[in-house]
Amino acid sequence: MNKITIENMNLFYGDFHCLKDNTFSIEEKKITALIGPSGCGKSTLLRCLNRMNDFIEGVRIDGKVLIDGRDIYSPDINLIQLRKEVGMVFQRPNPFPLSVYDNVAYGPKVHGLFKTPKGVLETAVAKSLSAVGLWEELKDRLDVLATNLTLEQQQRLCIARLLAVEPAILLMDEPCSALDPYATLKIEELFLRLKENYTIVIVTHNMQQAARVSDLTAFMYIGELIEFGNTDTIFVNPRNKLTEEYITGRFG
Amino acid sequence: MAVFDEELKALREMVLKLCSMVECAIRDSVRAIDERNSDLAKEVIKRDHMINALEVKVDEECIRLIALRQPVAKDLRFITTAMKITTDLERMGDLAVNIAERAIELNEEHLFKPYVNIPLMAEITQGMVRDSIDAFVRGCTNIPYDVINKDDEVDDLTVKNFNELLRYMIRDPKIIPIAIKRTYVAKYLERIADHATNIAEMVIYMCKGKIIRHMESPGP
Repeated sequence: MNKITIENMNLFYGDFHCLKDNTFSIEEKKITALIGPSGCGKSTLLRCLNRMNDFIEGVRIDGKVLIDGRDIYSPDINLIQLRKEVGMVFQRPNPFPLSVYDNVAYGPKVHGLFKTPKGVLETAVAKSLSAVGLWEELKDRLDVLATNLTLEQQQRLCIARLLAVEPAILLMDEPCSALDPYATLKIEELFLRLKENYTIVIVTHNMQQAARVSDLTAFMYIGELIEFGNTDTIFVNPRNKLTEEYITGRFG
Repeated sequence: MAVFDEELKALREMVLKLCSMVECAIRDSVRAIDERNSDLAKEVIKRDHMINALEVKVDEECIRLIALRQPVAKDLRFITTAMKITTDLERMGDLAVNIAERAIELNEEHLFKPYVNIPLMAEITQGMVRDSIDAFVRGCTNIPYDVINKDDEVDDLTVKNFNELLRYMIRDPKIIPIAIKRTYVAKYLERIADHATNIAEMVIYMCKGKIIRHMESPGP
């Protein structure tokens, strides 16, 4: 089932036409990878999915992004609600300079999700940390400063922070590029577990990562969606010559 | 990437060399029968270890490239195809050795009937191998669909050869031991053609990305 439908998405940074008429759908509870050379628009497209581009000066956006059939660019959309629904993880882990506990509890508190009864917030923190595999490691030192954790733990924590506000979609922008191969593998295993409950879209420069974790892969080039399909097909027998050149490393 | 392309080229050349050695083994083993030349047959048997050694080398190179380059798409299909077809080529070499062994035995006996079917089968089979490998080496300019049809011709000749020899055996049971060896040779060639068909199927996979084995009509 389609969770997100992108329809004729065009995005301009001033005069620069960054996304060119992208149209495709992202399936629910699947991992979709966006790949392509630097500057192809994959991160821009990712940021369109929770309207993170709105802040950028001189940006103009045409087209629709439907989530559960509802256009997130329509005027009546509540942006705070949208970003709660559609969480984002960035290249470098960016925990708040607070304790582990406060990092995870922050979102629910802001959203007023767990005002009453008592103990519900604690449970939500425990549940989110368990979902990312941090609970066992950190349950006895929840007051430790998050920025003192390892990078991998920090990235897990950032994911837990999202989960605490009960999103449906997780956007990942190069989530493992600051991590070593072992930490990367652990995070990838986490994605595979998370997709049982969440729709995941991941931007990656690491072709092997796209091949390992994603169900579907979209290849983008200078703002255009060149090929979109099952990850196995893309990596074994891509239809488009550009896709083939890119994934086999013969680009340009 | 230039380095990887060089490595792929070197692999392609190794497979090509293996193929020409196997073609040579098939040709010489059949000539050894046709021309009653047991020395040539012994040559084929003696040379087989070179085919085996090169097969191992190709395999090792494929494994190395998979490990170090993590190939995808057409590179992956090329390398996995190289890996699979070398197994077939090596088996073809072994069958050529079997033919050579029978040649030495047959050359000791009197020729009760001239060889007609066997040279013909050998010719078709060698053509099949050449066409399949050509497509592999030249990167899919001529996709070897024909090879698969030619396998039927070889199968038919195997049956024809058997029936003809059967008539001779009924007429003169003394020749049965020799005639049976001739049916063996045909059977070896028929199996070589089967391996050539495997190679063609793998090459079609490499070119088209579609596995056509065990399908009714493998056409384009």
